[in-house]
Amino acid sequence: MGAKLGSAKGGPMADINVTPLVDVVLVLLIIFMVVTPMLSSGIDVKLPLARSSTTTQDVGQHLVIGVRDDGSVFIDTEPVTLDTLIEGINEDFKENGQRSILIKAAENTPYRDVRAVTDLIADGGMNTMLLATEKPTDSQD
Amino acid sequence: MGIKIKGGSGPDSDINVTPLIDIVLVMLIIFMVMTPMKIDEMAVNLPEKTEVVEQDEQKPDQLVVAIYDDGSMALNKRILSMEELARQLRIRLRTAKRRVVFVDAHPDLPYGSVVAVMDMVRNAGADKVGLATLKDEGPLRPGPVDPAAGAGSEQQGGAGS
Repeated sequence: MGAKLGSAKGGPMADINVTPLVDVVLVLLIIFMVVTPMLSSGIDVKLPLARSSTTTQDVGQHLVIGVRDDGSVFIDTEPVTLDTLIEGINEDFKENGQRSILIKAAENTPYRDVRAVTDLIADGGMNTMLLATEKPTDSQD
Repeated sequence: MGIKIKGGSGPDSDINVTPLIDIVLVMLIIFMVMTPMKIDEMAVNLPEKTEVVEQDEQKPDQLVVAIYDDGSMALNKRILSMEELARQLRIRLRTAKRRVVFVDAHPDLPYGSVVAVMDMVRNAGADKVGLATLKDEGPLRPGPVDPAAGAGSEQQGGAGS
């Protein structure tokens, strides 16, 4: 790396100074490393563990419904109530077209709260939905 | 950057940063590519709310896994351990035409343990997992909680009501 401009041995050193490049690249690397876990769509919750789930790339193909362990419901990251959930979903479908619904519920949510959400969605006419899970880290397969 | 050991006219002794830059750039590219996060997902089906199935109309080949509030489980009203349930499901699903299993769980259970059972059901070979709610207060227990008592009632319909 670096282009020698002076040909003579005793000429001035003309290496390209790479220090700023290294600085910038390292900072970018750190930014990406820190931001990557925060970029997943929807709210950040502790997901239940499951081995049989399929892994896909999250490129915004799902409408993410979040459920926190206190029973609060979110469309993507917007908090909603159970009464406004269907409205919100319909609004999103109008804007972004029909998408599959991904339920991202915390592991220790009472099943009651998750059922309340899934029942509402089923009443709205969506019979298939996806549950976000996490692969156990000690997974052998 | 670089430590000059000798005087100005001596041999050049800058630290060679080229490998460092190579590695850091590659790591940067890896992280940029990975940024569209991966998600693990599991598809479930929900029966339409209006679909009311009378107990008598439940087909004998229908598989309903019930989870009670104390965490015990039953397959078609027979209380079984997790391992035994998985084994039974695997046997039944091997010959079944529709590999659909319904999971009916008590509302007080944590969501994580319900998903754990759904995971077990899928691992046992079910193509589709349905969420059933037969009773608002959770699946009905098959009489006294005695595994021996339920063992003979295989022909009974689904769990609950």
